[in-house]
Amino acid sequence: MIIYDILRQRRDIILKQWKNIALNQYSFGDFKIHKENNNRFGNPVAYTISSGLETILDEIIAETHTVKLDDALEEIVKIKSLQAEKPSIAVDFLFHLKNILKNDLDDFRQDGGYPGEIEKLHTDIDNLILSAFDIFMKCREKIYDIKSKEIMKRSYRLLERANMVDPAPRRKGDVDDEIGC
Amino acid sequence: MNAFYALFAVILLLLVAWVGVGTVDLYSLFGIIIPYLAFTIFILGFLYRIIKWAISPVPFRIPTTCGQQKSLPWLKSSKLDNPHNAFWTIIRMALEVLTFRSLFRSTRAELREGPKITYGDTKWLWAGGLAFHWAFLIIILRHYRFFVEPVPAFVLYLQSMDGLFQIGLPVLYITDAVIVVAASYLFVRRVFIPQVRYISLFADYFPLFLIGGIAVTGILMRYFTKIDVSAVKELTLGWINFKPAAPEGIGIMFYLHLFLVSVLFAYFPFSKLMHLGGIFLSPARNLANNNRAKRHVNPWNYDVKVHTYEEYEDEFREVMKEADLPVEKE
Amino acid sequence: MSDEKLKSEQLADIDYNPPSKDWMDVKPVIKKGTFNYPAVEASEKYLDLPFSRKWDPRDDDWKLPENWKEIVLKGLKDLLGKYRSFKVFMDICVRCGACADKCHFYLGSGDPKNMPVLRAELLRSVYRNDFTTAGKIFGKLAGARELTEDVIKEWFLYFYQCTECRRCSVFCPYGIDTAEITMMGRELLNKLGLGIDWINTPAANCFRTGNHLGIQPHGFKDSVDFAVDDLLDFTGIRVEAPINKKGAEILFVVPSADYFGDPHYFGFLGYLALFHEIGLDYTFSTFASEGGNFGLFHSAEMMKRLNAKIYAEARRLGVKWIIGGECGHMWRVLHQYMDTINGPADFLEEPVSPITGTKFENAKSTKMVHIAEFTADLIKHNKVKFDRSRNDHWIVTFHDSCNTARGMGILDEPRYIIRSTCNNFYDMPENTIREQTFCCGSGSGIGTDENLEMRLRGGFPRANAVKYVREKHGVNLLTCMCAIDKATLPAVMDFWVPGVELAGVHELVGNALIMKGEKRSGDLRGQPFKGEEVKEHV
Repeated sequence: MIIYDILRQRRDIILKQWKNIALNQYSFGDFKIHKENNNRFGNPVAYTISSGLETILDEIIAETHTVKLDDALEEIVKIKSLQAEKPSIAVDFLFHLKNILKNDLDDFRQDGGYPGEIEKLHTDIDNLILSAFDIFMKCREKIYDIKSKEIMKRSYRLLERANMVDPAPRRKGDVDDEIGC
Repeated sequence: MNAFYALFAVILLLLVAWVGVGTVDLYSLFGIIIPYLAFTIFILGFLYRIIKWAISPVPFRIPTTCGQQKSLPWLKSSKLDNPHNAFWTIIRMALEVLTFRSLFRSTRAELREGPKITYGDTKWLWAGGLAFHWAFLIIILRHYRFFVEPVPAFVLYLQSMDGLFQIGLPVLYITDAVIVVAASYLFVRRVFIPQVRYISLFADYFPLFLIGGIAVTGILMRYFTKIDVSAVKELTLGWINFKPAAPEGIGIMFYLHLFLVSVLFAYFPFSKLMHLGGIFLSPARNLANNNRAKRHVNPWNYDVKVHTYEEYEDEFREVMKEADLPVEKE
Repeated sequence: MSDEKLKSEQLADIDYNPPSKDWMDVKPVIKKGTFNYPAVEASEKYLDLPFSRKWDPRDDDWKLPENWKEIVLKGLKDLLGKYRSFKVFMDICVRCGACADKCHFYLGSGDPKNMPVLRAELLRSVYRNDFTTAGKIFGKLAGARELTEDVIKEWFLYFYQCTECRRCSVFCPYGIDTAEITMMGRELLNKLGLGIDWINTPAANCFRTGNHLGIQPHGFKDSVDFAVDDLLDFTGIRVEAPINKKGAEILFVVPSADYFGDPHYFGFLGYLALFHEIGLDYTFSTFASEGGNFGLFHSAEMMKRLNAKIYAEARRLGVKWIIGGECGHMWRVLHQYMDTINGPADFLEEPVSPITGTKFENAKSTKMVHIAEFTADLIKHNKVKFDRSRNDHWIVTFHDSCNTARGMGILDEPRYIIRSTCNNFYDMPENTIREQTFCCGSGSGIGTDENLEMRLRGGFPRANAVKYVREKHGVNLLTCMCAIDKATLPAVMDFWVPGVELAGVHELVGNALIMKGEKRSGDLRGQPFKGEEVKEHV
């Protein structure tokens, strides 16, 4: 298991690169969010993403897949589902990992490499990518679900039906307009 | 880009003084007229700004409360962070002005968890800002010795405290080192923290470079290109007694220093440096949170169109009666 | 390829990419999920607001009035002359950046214009351009920019992405209060007819019917009767809930969501139970059927127009003093503004608790007491008895609402009540509560459906702290004293920390309260108490 040995050795460097890319990605245009204040409560986004990446990488290296990994993935994608307009942007942090690993391992690859292990590594990450897509969809659905729930909950509508409310009256000549774009 | 412009502006100012004194010998202009003018602009401008703020009324009492209010006698209120009277408001303001308490708040004990947490900037901003302002104040007070004869005891005391370490000859003032380091830090963080650079304007870099220039020229003439101190005192006492005469041969470094100081004075009232005066006028800090105990009067409180109960009852009288709600008019 | 390939160490050193553009050159992007729908014309006309029209923020043409620029600059000048706060805050910011990472919208969205300092600069830049010497001479070099339609669009976007929570003001060395700047910005926008519906329509309803929902007097009575019936079901006791009763000792004013919203309603039942048990002589008012004040989110004038009814009803009904229910921005108005705008309340008496005899010295001028102050006093004097175990199905934490925390400082009263009425209470981490509390992300009239994604972003810092206590202590109930929190935090919790419900502090009071002659069948939500559900099956 030579590859995993190398990964264990290079873990800190790989993680640092990955965090930098992922957090830089969490940005607005080309403005970057505060990474300095990485306090769990003071700056929850930076904290959640960076600690989540750490969990994911550690489990990949340890060749395990526990609940912690699923949770970490979900927490990150949850944030991304609100930030990114497209799922492709929301899950691309996992593709970045692939690139980083590829670059990193290339330096250490001896002639011929160790294809079996590389393949396994890539399959593991691919599986995570698929899960990330699922989570993204789940989060988007949740948002719409919440939206519809909120509208239904709005007692105002019920009251209106019960004829108990009467909004500010339309004056004569007013265009009867509807809210909403 | 803004930083470059600001640096360029300060270099330009230095060149002006260099040429003006060094080659064209405009001693009176740079030694008398400009300082007088700058000081006048400073005083009048400062007053103008304060008066301009002060004529706008404070219509509402809107302190930002940062602790438990004073309500029930057995609940301990946070007098300092939520002052309920003038006394504690003054203490709150004093701590704000003297120790930058609000800035310090960002660094208050936080749960340290997670992998690698760097606390970085917040604490340094507080420390750097405080060091910068205090060093500046002490340096200004030290300069008082140029304006009176004999030099008062507190200035001598301050001077000896400042030179406590007895390093070098002439003795190195701690504040000289502190102000250079602190100003450099404030500049460096502005440039290297991307968020802060994003919000920084020319007007943020310029005063830093200006004050940095003043400090550096001051240090140079004290420790390196020695100048004639007695001639300087002759000049400064001349200002005070309104018998100014600009002696030659003080040394060009002094005039560079003096010119930058003059620019700072003249620039002060038109810049963000007015936070010196403004901090005392901030309604979010300088008012007591006793709103419900003591009525605050708004000088421009005007009558507005309201919906009266009579109009309301007129519109809804029938349904009110049907629902057995009491009405004023049957 | 290998040339382009970065070595690991090099990659690790890339710490930031500087923004290439000045913020002034970044045009506002109006996209779905980040803005609120404009106000309908009918509401604006009802309030006699200027330039009401049909317009869409996503269109290029906002149909601004012809002399819009003149209106804004004149308005700005006017506000500078009226508010020292505004004028000082325009001048003294040194852009130290201490506020930057204190805003929940910035932390949650990453949009730099949500940094409080930059939100204020949106207005300051125009101020410098037209009102300062330096700006007039040096222009952009002095941080000035010309007022253009894009600037107006930017204002609309970002002044309706601020919840006026004042968290930034706590950390600012000069106390610069972005809420104040946002208020001025909104006032200017409304002068151009650029109001949002979620603010102006409730304001219109409130002006007419006395409450934001537009509930008419008989509707109000119906809902109070309904609550009385519900309470009978849950406690076996029929309470009195007088409405428009002249000569009552106390007028009780609540936010209208309390008698219609969920979970506000359960806290409303708590009020009714408590007042019955202590035999308080009080009355509701159908006219003053709203303590909340969406006028605050529109302009100082609108705030005054909507607030006037409270003292007017207190006078008409001849009460001695007033109690106000659980609400955030309602209390900002009552505490910091009401006495000034619609006082003096010299026709009322200084509040004294008829049950304990306590004089509420802190409210002797305004004559309005917060329900939590009133209840905490009752508990301290042992005037009510509680069975805390009735709240054992809840593991509770408390969210300080922005306005009551940073515009008033009512922090320990609710905690005292919560500790007295339940057995499991855990505060969230220090830098997320009390004066450092994180906003729900929906305050100041932007809690709309169309704005949901922005609200979820802004609510993340709060939710994150709740998640922490949920993981650590199993918290399942987030209590608070704000109608907007109760209305909007359920969505935030549902997304970030599923399994945490919302409740008012007085719902816990109502549950734990031991009433004479009661036959409790469960808590105020109709759920069985902990332990009871087991007994039933035995």
